[in-house]
Amino acid sequence: MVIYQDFSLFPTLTVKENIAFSEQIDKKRRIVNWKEIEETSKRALGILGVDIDLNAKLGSLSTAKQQLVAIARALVYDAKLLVMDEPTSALSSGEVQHLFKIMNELKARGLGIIFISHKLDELFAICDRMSVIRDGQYIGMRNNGETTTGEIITMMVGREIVEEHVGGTNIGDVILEVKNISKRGNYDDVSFNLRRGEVLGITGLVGAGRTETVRALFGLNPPESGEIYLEGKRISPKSPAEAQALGIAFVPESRLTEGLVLQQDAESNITLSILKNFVKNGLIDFKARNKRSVELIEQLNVKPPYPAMQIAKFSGGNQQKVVVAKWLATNPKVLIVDEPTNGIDVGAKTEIHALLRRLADEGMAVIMVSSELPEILSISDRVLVMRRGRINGEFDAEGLTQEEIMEKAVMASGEKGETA
Amino acid sequence: MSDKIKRALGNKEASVFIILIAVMLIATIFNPAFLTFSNIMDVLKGNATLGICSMGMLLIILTGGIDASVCGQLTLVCVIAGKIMANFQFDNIIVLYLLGIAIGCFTGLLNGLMVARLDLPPIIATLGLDSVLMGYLKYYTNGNWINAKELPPRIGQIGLFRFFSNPEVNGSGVPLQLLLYVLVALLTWFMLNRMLLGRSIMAMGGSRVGAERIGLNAKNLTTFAYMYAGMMYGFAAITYTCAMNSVDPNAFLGFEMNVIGAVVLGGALMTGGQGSVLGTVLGMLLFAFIKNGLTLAHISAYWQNIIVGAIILLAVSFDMIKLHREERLQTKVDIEPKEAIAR
Amino acid sequence: MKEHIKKNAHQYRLLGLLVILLIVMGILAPGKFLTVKNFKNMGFQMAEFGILAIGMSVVIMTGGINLSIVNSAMLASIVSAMAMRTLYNGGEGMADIPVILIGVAITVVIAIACGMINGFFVAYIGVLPILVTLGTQTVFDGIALNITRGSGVSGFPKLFQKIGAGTLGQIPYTMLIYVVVIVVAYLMIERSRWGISVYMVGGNEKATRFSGINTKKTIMGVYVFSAVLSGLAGILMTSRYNSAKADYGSSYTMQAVAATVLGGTSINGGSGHVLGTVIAVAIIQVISSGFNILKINRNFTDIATGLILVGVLALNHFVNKGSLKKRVRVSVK
Repeated sequence: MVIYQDFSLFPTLTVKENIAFSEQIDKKRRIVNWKEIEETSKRALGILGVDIDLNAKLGSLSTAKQQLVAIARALVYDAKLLVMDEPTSALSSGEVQHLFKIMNELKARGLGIIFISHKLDELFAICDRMSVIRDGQYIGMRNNGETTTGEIITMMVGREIVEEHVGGTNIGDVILEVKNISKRGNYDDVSFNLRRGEVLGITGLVGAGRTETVRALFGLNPPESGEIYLEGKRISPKSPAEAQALGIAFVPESRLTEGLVLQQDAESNITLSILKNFVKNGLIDFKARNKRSVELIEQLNVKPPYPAMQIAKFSGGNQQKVVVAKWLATNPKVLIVDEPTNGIDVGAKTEIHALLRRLADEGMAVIMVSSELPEILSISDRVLVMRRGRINGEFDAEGLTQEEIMEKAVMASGEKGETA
Repeated sequence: MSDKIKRALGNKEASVFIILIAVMLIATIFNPAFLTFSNIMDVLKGNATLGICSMGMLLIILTGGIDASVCGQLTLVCVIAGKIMANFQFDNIIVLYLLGIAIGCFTGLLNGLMVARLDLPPIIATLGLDSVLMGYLKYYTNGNWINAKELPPRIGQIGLFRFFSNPEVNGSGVPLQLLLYVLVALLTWFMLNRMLLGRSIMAMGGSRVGAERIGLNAKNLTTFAYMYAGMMYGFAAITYTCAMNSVDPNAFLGFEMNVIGAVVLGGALMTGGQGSVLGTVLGMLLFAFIKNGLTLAHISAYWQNIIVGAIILLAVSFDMIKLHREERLQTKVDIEPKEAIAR
Repeated sequence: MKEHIKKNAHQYRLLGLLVILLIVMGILAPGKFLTVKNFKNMGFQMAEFGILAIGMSVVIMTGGINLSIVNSAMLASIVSAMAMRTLYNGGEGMADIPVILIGVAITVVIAIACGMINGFFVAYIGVLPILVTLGTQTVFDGIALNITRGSGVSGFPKLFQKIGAGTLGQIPYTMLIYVVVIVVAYLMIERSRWGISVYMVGGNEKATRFSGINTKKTIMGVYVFSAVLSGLAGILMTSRYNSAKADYGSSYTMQAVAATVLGGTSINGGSGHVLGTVIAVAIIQVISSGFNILKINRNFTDIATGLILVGVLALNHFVNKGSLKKRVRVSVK
């Protein structure tokens, strides 16, 4: 039996119920046997050797403890296999050590554990074998002790044909300057600058704080301290509307939940950010709006080119083009794109890459957040690598390799990985 | 407050409890008649219907739903039972209770099926049922009361019954309605805290996906919640008819607001999964004592509605502000401590 | 043209239903239903209900609901009625027209205040619309009862009665007002920048906010707009009854929700048309008047509305079933 350690916990129930509730269901108890629940959960937590208040509401516990509860629940089932998906993502290093101790004990009891993680140091510390999966494909398996971080990194990034690096031709002066911005639990002491005509790639692992940082520039996640300067003037946008007025545009990570109004047609979506341009005598001039949307659809080569088609019916790539078009329409000074080619087909991807590069060459300043290293390498002029809320490395994209980036993304600056 | 009491009451319930004590203190200062046995008993008797209904509403709100058909369902049972009592001089209270519960069970089932099986938004489904029921009842009764003279004499006697009553002292003894309310609250508590069924509803309200993954049938649980609520309304309707010794088809207009108010004041969240019997009892008491306190302070019934409405608005706003604050402060990135890098 | 019919299929179906109902009623009550007199009567009643329903529709378009719509209407009317009574003073005070103008102005101001209270709690605090408007329903109703002690307020200029009871030729003034409201509401909701934002907020508040639109303001606007229409409906009711009373129009809340949903506005927001609601209002009015002429108890209108409401949504459920989209989690090369 496989137990997925995931979100099927019940935040409003107590710890002991979360651990032993399904046992009650299986035993078809009509009246809950609290004694049994107590015993079962005590036993499960006993195996883990942790001390958690059985009567506390799960929702009131720290993430680390919730994770232990989830593991305890898996134990109740006499699971033979435990799948842990990024279990350490919200744990402190002390908690991680404790978790590893527990995992080793479970291993000794004959339990198999699949440990899914991005954090190489942790994989090397706890795993016997490591498999690499990339883009939905199985790449290979290595035994711990017979491999190096370098080799794993190479497997992770692959040897795919990287589109040739195209540098900027028109890089100008600094337009945006970010100085030591921090927000608790989001990003810490982040500084960088951005030039006109430049594509700045920001990469790192999921949960490294990339999205949180760029959102700060768009007024969505304002910093608690630090300064942001646009064209030399200090700005502190508090809402997307303010950011837009300043000339900042943001293509969010999730186009379905944050980028598009799915019930509406392409035209309404594409012109949402510039609605006020079409107001004539207090009303929307639909002819002008339609004309502009047709232009934008043409400019970005959205297919099919039907402004009246519901946006949900377009392919992912074309939906993404619509979101980009929405922001190009505002003629921004700074364009921020977050995972711009996430889940879209190769053709659309190439088009978006070419578009971003062209926009930069025409003088726009572009920030591209992406997990896809080939993408980062091919169109960025400079690359920032984030790790655990901070900038852990800054590179000139010319001649940069995926391995160099990955090393900065997975390891603290002090550590040294052996590159294969 | 010590941790033990806090645990016993739960965080939410503890704050409702403190506010309740404060309200009672203030009410007593304004009018010492507040804190007398007979007044407290009268308030509890007068609000037993609200209390019983709030137990049903609690279950629905735990599933993340809402019931706007309280008025229609209560009135339906009152009118049917009242007609039977009046036309046949029928006064077998046990049978009447069973009948009331059966009718409520049926109307609740209708709501449950509409919400769980047809996926209708709870507010629409229950508004629709309320409209149908009230439309029919207004037509059937033409707004006419069934008064005490038409009802069998025993009904009124049952309504006046008090336990441990001292015939020499006016207003002594524990009213029957209070006992019934306590019984219903205990039953609901038992179901929600001791039975797998109740725990399953709590679990489902907290995480529907999770509940389905461990093999619970969310549709049936939701349907049950509406049925249970209907049964509570049926029970409350018979209790109310006896206490009032009359049937007024317009008595419950706007009553759902009070019921939802009591549950929400008691700390339940409209999103489901959060809420308790104890909290709902405290919420009902708070509701009832605020109103009674205002009455004793000679504030008009109209003002009472305004104040109670405002209190509910503020209570839910406070919850939202707290929730947004927690969300804002949530840790999204595990920032490495600076010392770790230095090391 | 074909595109137009396809896009507004629901409205055309409703229109068809309305025509069929008119024919059926005409056959069932020959010489009584399809008469100028009956249509005039329907015109008197339909206006206030229609205006309230449009006010409800715009709120539902954002995914909200306004259960206090009738109560804000009556509160505004009562305050203005008292002011008018005082100013008019049985004919000894101010002249008719200034009294009426002041009365209307007061209604609108109070209605805006009511709308802003709803809008503040929904947009700025983030409380569920149903809870907010249930609460304000009690509060507005309480205030209205408190200042009237539950009784009606009357004693306005004769001219004021004309608004609700007078006609221009055979057309009731209320109908003319209703038409103006429909046109203005249509322009504001379906053709103005705010209106477009309303649909967008209803479809996806986050994406709209991320597109640089101040969605809080949009939502606030929706509740104010709804309240202003409710105030207007209040004026019509006050004039028609020649008095203002807290419990007038209490069944309109439910009927307004029903007309909105029947008119094709999704209860989850993001869709709907003013004209859809207008046709739905006409359908409910035809049923109600038809029942009246056929001597069917007027309470059956409530029953029919409830059944239609649930029926339409249940039908939608079966139509939409099984149209769930598959989503790709990982792009495999």
